[in-house]
Amino acid sequence: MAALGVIMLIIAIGAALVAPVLYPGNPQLVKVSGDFAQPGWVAYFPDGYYLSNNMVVVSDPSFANPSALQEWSYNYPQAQGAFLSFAWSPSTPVGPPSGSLQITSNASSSLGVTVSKVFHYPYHGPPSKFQLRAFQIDAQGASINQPVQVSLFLTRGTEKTYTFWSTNVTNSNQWISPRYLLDSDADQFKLAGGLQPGEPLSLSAAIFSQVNDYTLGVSIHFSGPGRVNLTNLGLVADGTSFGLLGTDSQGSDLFAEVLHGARISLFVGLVSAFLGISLGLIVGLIAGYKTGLTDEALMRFTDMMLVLPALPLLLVLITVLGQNIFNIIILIGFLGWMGFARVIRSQVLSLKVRPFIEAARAAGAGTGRILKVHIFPNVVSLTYVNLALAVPAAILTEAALSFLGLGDPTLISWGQIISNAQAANALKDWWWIIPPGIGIAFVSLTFVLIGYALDEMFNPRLRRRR
Amino acid sequence: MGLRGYILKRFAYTIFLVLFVIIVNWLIFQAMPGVQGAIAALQGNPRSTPKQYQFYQDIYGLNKPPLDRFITYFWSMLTFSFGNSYQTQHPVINDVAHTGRLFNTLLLVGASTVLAILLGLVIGVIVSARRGSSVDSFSVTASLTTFSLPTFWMGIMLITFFATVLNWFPQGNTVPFDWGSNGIPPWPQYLLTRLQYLTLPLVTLTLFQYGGYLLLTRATMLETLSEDYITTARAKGLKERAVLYKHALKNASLPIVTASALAFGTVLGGAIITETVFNWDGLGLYLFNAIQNKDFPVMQAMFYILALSVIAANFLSDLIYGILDPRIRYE
Repeated sequence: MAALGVIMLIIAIGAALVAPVLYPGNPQLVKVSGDFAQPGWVAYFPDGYYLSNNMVVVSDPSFANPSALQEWSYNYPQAQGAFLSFAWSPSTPVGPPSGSLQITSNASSSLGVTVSKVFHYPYHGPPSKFQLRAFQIDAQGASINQPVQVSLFLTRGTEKTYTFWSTNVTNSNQWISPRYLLDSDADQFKLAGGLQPGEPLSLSAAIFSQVNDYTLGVSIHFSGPGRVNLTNLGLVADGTSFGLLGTDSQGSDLFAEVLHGARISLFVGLVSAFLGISLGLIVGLIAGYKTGLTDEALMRFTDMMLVLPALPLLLVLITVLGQNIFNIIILIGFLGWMGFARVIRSQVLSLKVRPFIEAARAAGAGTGRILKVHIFPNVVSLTYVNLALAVPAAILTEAALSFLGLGDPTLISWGQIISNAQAANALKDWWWIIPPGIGIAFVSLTFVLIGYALDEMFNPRLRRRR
Repeated sequence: MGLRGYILKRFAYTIFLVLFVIIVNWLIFQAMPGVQGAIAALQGNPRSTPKQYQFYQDIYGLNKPPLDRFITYFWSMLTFSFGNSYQTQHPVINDVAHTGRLFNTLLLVGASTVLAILLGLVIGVIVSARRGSSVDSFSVTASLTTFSLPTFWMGIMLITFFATVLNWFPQGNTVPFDWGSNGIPPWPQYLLTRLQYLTLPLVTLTLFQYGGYLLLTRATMLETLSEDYITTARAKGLKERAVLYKHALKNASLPIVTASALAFGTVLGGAIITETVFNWDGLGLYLFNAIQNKDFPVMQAMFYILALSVIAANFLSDLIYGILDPRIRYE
């Protein structure tokens, strides 16, 4: 049992140490995938066939480098190719911060060009959602009489084309963008994609309904000679599965959150247990060694504290004093010393009448020295045992506080992750609920195992009679 | 000192504890930025009139000297007149006693404690007779594991499995919603439905407690089994069953009485969590809602009531102990 406990302790401490290295910063503030994404490995099970991963269709959507031009294919009537030229243009002080694609037409008549990219969508289910870059276009030489027609589209296979934005650019020398968010969850975008805003079917489910080749592109129609610059053309799809443990309602990586939770749980558990045990040790030593009023007063106070129901008291006190981690640690510590003080006191009571203490006293040792040199070493094993058993109690208390919404809101703890899941009405999302619970149980069990192993080692009453 | 002297002494001590709780409760809520804070805000608000300020001072009695305020508070604690809840505007004591909340909590806590003690005793005795066997290590490991599991998480897991997946039990609540409009059904159905709603919270709170009783029973049984009188009983040729249940268990069960009283405060904590998870309309959920809404009169009253019940449980266990164990009367 002890060996298992030690191995588990090493794993827990390892997780706590590795968390800030692997995932610096607060993982709850980083969106890594679609909301409520399931763990990636679920896709390998029969039920997970419909899951999709994150997908980035265009590698350089902002045309930051000239090589971005090679990513796209250009379609235009063969005969008029001579009038067209395609070039990369660097960023301009008035335009978008990055580069752009420049298309020049010298044709006097009208001319249509399509810039597009075909990509394969390999998943059987739709993405959680998809987003188009905030497309920007600038048409030189466009006017009311000679407008430039632009439309942004996505085609599934060869059968269905969704046009998300189409407009006639009539003013020259001005960057124009769609006025609405190009996000599959946004109502206006849904409308543009041909769905009613209130429709239960999501746009991403309507469009990415099958494994197929899709074409993302923009078509430009010149009415006469002109030049357009366009940039920010890209599509990102958020997957419905991600990483080891999936994501929460904000699309944050739950594996990172759970790793970070190990730090808080261990920290709170160890520090408040240490605080409580130290207090208990001091009170127990003094009450046990001193007789009369000191002992009586200390033990009465201990009994009185024992009678206060701990969790209700904690809840009330934290509401009063404020929800931060130091209040939580200190309060858990201050409410966790009584039982141990009693144990130590009874041990000291039986120790202090032993001959070696009397001898020390006769030799002229003071109270402090006797407590420190002669009594403390004899209760130190009890201290280890109770310290190990106080840690899981503190961890569980902190988890319960966080679950009840009274944890430190700025820190990620396991209790808080579960509390968030409940607040998001996501108790059915097992990948969100189970790992933090197992984390709490794992770390608590670690210390329980170590504590019981120490107890079996040190407690003479538990030794087997031979 | 006989039994009567012992009881008197414990009773006096209990009164002393009640006074202590009343004082602690006052100190906590004196520190609370509640009423005082609201009035300070009123004072700082340029749009508040002195009349308003005076009005609230009068209502909360803040213009009186602290001693007067303490006496008013003290009297209200003794008479259980806790004032009105900010949320419901009802007297707190009505919300507690006349709405079924008290009964619901007593039902949950009482039933789970009895179940947990029974489970702990039975399994504890069985495994102590077979120390070191696989049954022993399994049940010890199992109770250590349930120790380590967070209560709220166990509750959520039970709901997910038995309510959402298997649909055997409701996902929460104390009674069906439609009882309010459709009326309460006749008793066989009434009892059955209530039992159905009770099951999952009951299992949660029982799992929360039983491990402690099991380990305690096992430890005291192991200790008792090594006593000389057990060897004597065995030497007399008594059956092992008689040795276990008649000689050992009787003595080993005494610490359970103390432990159950000492654990009562913890169980109330577990009940708060369980009631919150299962939306079980008891005192724990009431306190939780009060905390969420910073309903100070309810928080103050609830803390007082919960502490009182722990004191009562301790007094009761002292009494039982005094009756069961003659040694204690002659300490």
